[in-house]
Amino acid sequence: MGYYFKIICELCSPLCGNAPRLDALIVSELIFKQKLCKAGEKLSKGDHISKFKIPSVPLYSEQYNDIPLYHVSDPICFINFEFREDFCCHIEPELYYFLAENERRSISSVSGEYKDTRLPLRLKNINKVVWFCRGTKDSVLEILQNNIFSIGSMRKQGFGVISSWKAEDVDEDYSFYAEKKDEKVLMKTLPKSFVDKENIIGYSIQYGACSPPYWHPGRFMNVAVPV
Amino acid sequence: MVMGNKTNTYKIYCLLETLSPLTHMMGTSGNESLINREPIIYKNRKVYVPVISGNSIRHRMLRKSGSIYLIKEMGIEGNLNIDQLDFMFYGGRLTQTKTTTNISKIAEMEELFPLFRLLGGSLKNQILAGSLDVWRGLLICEENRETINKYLPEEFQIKERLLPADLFIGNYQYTRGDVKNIRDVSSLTKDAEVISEREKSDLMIYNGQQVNRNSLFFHGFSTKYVSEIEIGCLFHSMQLWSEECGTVGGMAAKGHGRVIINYIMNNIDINISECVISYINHVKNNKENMIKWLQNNFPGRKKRGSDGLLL
Repeated sequence: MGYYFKIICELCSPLCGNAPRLDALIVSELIFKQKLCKAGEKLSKGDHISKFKIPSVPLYSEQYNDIPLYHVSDPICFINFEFREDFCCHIEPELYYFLAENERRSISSVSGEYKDTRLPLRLKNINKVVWFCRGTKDSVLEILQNNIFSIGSMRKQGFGVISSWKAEDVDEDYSFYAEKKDEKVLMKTLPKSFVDKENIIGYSIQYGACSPPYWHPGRFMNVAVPV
Repeated sequence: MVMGNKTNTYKIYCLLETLSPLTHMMGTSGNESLINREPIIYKNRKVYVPVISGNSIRHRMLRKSGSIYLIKEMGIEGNLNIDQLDFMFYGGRLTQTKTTTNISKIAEMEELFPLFRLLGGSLKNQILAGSLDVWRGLLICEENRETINKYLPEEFQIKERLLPADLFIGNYQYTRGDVKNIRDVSSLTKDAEVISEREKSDLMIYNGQQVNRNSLFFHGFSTKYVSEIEIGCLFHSMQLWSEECGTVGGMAAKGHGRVIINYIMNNIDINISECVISYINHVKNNKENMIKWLQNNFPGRKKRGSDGLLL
């Protein structure tokens, strides 16, 4: 059955992009830990989804059309404010000294292969991200504390650095739904059929995935996404 | 096989001290350059504090100094093509529409180039992930104290109250000389056209913000599953950068951005000097293979023969 708990991730640098789904983070780490994938090997969008080997994850899951739906809510965070920063890259002319004589030519820096980059990044000032889960608390926490040091995009440039992972017990299972008077609020992206059955509020219907790998077209279907 | 070394995860905390004004800019307002700042919440207010981007630290401190060392050691100065230069100094670009994942190619690169295993990059048709996260440089000031303490382990926590960020920010002003005002300008050149051109006034005053010298910045690195050779590469590149009067930010030609670096590691169980020596030995032993790998993966432009066919 597993225990009900929430995972709290405290951040100490701005988050670039969106907060990830916890099951995706855990699955991607465990694939390498459980040696289901060789180093450098990747599943691409062109590969059939059956090629994806599902590791054993310390989260409670239920099957839906052979897809495991892990009991973990979508990320919940309060965004203090958003701001913009630019990611810049351009070839410095002084390095042309290293080039061979016949390579010292003029190159376009406004278009083409060697175009200068000034990429605007959408950054979010967030103190912490929370996920509600059902599973084995200590195992989940151990995987996160030992392997995940930053989340979001552009992690190599110092965004989304994590200061601590914490886990706290909660009384009820909020991973799929949270009770609100007579209604239930959707907490996780689930197949559309899940919200048709019951009196559920707080979602929009989209076309996407509800189980890792979230980016693979083999997982796409009509889903209810919490809003 | 060099990657057979035991891999581990490390965190390295660094302290940068500015020895000259630091001008790491974010843009301009009119004629004034503005120092790069990030908004943070401090005492329920939004305040802007100076920050050095991780991208800048990564390039200056590691990739550039490390690549220059590799080029000199391989003896290929003046023999690179532009794709090789782009890959070594800027990480390369994904330019082919058909992307592939060639595992043996990635493995070969990671074995040969510890620097690029750390920093990652991109071949023409595949992206290579790095294993080093470079943290942003945070000014050590009262507004940032809470954030810096979140990064630091318990024994290094900053307990005392610090000075506010505004006290570390100053201004610079430079003037580009007016040639018209130089006496006997005509004696410098006989060219009438140049003389008439120079008679136009080009006096320009330009100014901007700076972080004053003797300010301190906190930053660091976290490495995931790296061997001792990669740690050696990291410290060797930092050492080279520091020895060559390492700078951060712009206007280094005017003496700006000179910094010195101090570092500590919390989970240290390795001898850094030995790691650096093993990295240097690795580069010396694998020169030929490195050159071959670069030539195979970045062959450069194909030349056309006299008949117009690609050679």
